[in-house]
Amino acid sequence: MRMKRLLSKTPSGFTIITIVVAILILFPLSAMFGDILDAPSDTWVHIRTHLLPDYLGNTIILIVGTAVLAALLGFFSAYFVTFHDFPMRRFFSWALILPLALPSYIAAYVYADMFSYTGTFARALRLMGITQLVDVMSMAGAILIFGLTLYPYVYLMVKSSLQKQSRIYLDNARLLHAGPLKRLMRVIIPLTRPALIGGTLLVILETLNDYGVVRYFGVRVFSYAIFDAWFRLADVASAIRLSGLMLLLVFGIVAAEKLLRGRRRFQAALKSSSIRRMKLSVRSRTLVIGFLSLVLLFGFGIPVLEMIGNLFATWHVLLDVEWLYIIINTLTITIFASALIVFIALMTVNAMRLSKSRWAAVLLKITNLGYAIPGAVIAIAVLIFFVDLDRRLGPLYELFQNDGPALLLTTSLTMLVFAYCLRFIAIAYNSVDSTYEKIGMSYTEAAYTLGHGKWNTLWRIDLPLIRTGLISAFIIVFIDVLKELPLTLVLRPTNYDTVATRVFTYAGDEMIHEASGPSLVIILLSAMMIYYLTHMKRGGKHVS
Amino acid sequence: MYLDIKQLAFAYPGGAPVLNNLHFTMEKGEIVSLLGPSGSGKSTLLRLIAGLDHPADGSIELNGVTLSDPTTFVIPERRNVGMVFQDYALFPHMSVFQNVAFGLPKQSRQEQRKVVLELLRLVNLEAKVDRYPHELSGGEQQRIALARSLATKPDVLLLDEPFSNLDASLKVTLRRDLRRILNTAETTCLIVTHDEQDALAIADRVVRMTEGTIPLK
Repeated sequence: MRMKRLLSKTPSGFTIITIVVAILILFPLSAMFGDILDAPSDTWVHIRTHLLPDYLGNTIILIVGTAVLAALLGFFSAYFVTFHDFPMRRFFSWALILPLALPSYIAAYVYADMFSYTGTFARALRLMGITQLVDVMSMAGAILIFGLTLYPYVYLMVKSSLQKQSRIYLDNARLLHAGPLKRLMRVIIPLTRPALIGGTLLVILETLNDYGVVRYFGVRVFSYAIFDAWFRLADVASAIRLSGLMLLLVFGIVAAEKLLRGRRRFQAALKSSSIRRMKLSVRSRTLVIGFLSLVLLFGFGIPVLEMIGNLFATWHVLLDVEWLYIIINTLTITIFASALIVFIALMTVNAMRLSKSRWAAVLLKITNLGYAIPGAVIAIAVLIFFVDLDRRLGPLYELFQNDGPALLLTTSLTMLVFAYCLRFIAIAYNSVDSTYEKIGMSYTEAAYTLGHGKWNTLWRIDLPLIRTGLISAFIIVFIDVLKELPLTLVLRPTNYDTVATRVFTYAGDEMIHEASGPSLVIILLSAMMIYYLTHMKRGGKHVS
Repeated sequence: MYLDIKQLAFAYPGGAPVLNNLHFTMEKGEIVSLLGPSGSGKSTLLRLIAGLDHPADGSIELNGVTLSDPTTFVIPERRNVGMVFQDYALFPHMSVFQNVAFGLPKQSRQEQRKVVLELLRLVNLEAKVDRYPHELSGGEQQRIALARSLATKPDVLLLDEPFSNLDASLKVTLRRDLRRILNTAETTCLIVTHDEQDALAIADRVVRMTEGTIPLK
């Protein structure tokens, strides 16, 4: 008891870092919304009366369509892989995550190209005598592309929930005369519902965040609208208003998710015995393998193969020194940002662990808010915040350098890294937190009673125990930062490019073939990381 | 014989045999305790009778029907064998009512309600009909699990270590309750336990099991 009190009374280094981060995150957002109170511009009146209903309608169609498609693909692939036995099951079990390595906008560029008049699909269709062109650059096309590239979020969450589900429930249902369909509908789906809804929420947030696909396909949704108001109409105030509305929508969705899963609290807390997989008849086996292969082919295989094909004509691009720089840039900033984000997450988790106060819980909610906020909104908030900061710090800059740049922070990479942190801390937090949960408090507390300080314990006891958790947090954030487009596009310094932004530019200039090589570099790198993540030993050798 | 098990054998893939040449019989309506140290294969025997695992050899016959032999295997949902698991496995997302009604055949809501309430009366838990499993004590959960299994009128009811997860101080009452419920329901019942006193207190007959088999008398 005495120790606990001692711990919560003195604010530790962890808590201080957490507080600073929380303030930094909250500040830009609240500062931005202060501006909403200003009188609306004429452009805003125009946007509100003529464009807004469309933006809203399109956004809802897009997220509902994508959510349904991703939920179906993700749930059924997880269900088949977990409960059934068929050839190549192990392969599918990790390969089905691969579409996460393929950024949606790259998939969009490649598919649009393949379905264009001279594209691979269109030519293949003509060989079969079908001359009609399929218009993939449409709302339906966007839904398909988001569904196929984002379903792994649902797949991952549902799969881990199904694996934790005790086999006993299913055995019991069988003894109570329930056939496969009744077991699926009455036992498996209800028990998995929180994971299914949680995964679908991630898909929706990712879809709202996207700017690449909707821009290229001309699907007028909110992120499109925000950038349009900002850059084409040069009306920052309207962009901020749109951001406010979009945030309302996002928080509405997040609240709906809480409502949908929060009513009945239960946990399958039974001792889990390993799942016994059902043998399938030859016919259903073929159907299952066919289904999974199609999902994997369209979500990953076909676009990647197409890009490899394009590479034959454009391989010289990879020898281009400029691309080399861009790839090195991308890797440097991604590694740096990911490491920083994991470090901050580690601090936040520890602050939470050591003081279970309400205060800490509120701070945590704030730091984890970032992931729900679409990139377009974060981009505006961060940019406004930094320009303001630079103005205030102006006199300080003068002290050191008389005619130095007036916008020191705004023109540096600091702003971009800050925005990455804002958006991705939640992901790292959840990953680190779940690892800590597995080892519990007792090792840490034992170290404290043996007279070790907090940092010492973190270094000597916690870190070795949660090492694999930290590595997976790093990999997950790494892949996300690598793919990130809207933030990078807006907040990068002039003449600074990452692979993502350069591919975006190339797609706009109809030079998508030339971008195949660098795109493949980041996709295959992400794919390798996913392979490593799914094949590394869980929990480390010390923890059972 | 009502339940007739011959030459039963079982082994996990690549493991040592868990059950070996096991013979065992039960009369209809009998309550039998299967007593043995942990690891002697008692729970495995229950899982084989329920059809949750496949035997390597031997046959199981229940009420004149072959459930399992080298050429036949009836899947669990067609066996009409009831089982109460060690940790009860009440479906956490369903109320007590929904849990008990889960195994009932299709019938009108009213009839269903009647049957469920009757069963809950049997286990003395009518008042908890709308509760969820996490709102019940361990002993209550067990009795609900019992009611749920009895709802399908199983040919044989299997109980896996019914007292292992319960407070030892309540044991005497719990044994008496269980015995009363089983007698009222007139079920054929096979109870696995490692506690000699439990075995003697509940059953008509005690069978001892060692190293995967039941020694002949």
